[in-house]
Amino acid sequence: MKLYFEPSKGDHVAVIGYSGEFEIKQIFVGADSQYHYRLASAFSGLELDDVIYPWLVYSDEERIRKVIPQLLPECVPWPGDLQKLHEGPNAGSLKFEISSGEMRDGSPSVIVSFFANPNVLPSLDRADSRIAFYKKLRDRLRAVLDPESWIQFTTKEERSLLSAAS
Amino acid sequence: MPLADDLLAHSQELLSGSPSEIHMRRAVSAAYYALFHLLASSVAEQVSPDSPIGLRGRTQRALAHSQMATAARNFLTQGKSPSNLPKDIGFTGHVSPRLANVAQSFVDLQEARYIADYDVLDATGEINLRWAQECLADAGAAFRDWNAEKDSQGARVFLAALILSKHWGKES
Repeated sequence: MKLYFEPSKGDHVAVIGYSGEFEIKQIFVGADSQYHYRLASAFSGLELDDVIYPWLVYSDEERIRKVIPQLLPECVPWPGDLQKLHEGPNAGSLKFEISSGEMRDGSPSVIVSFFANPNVLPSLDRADSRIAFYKKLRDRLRAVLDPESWIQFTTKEERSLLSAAS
Repeated sequence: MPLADDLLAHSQELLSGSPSEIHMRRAVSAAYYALFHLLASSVAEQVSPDSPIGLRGRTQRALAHSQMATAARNFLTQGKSPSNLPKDIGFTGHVSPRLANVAQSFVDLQEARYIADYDVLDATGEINLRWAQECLADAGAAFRDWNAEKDSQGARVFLAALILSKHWGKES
């Protein structure tokens, strides 16, 4: 399967020569007929109006964020107790979030969290099904990422609206 | 019943019914130690004779958790040769999907075990029933994969790496 890694609006990237993370705000074609990018720092507000592709650096976290929606259709059937997105460009796909962390020995790790449906009771069978699904997804991710990258999967629990209101 | 199987069964017992947080923590810890002892006893069986009687026990005691995790990280990429493997070992095969799963589960469960045993505050809300059940399921899958894989040449190299890879950088 060919994965799509082209920069998109909303991607979070580092920029060579600058510290911190930037968000791609706009993509436009420059006078050289190449794509150029307008970026803004999420923290300092610094704006970079005209950045070219070779200056953009994608972290493992961002690469995984971009690739997972493309890989999920290969990993069906999805565990029935995981929540799906109801809106947005990936509506119907599984809801997930990505964060970076450190393992106990200090090695970096990207953590991919899916969300359990709070109305489905936990069971060992369902845990088996999620573990099998996570392994399948991890195998596909490993094929497209640095072999040293450590990826952990978690299942987050969100309180249902009813219990949150009580 | 071998200690590894006992620990896996114990982990399952702890999660039956409506387990309290301490049961979940202990179940995760037991799931890790089940896999640890499964691999440690296999290492001892491979590198030590069964007589004198205490030799294999001493071999198991020589294993260090962090070194085992470091070694396991070299067996993660299925379809490729293990990383950092000296050429003179003569293993030209690739890491099988099952062996990669065992290696991955070992590192993941060791990390989970540290959370279960030492993360008193649980600030990230990690400790819950689904997490504990996933750890048990992960250990169970690793047992199945190991039992199917344990006689392969790759598995023999993996076991040797768990106890010896720290010394494999030495010049002969």
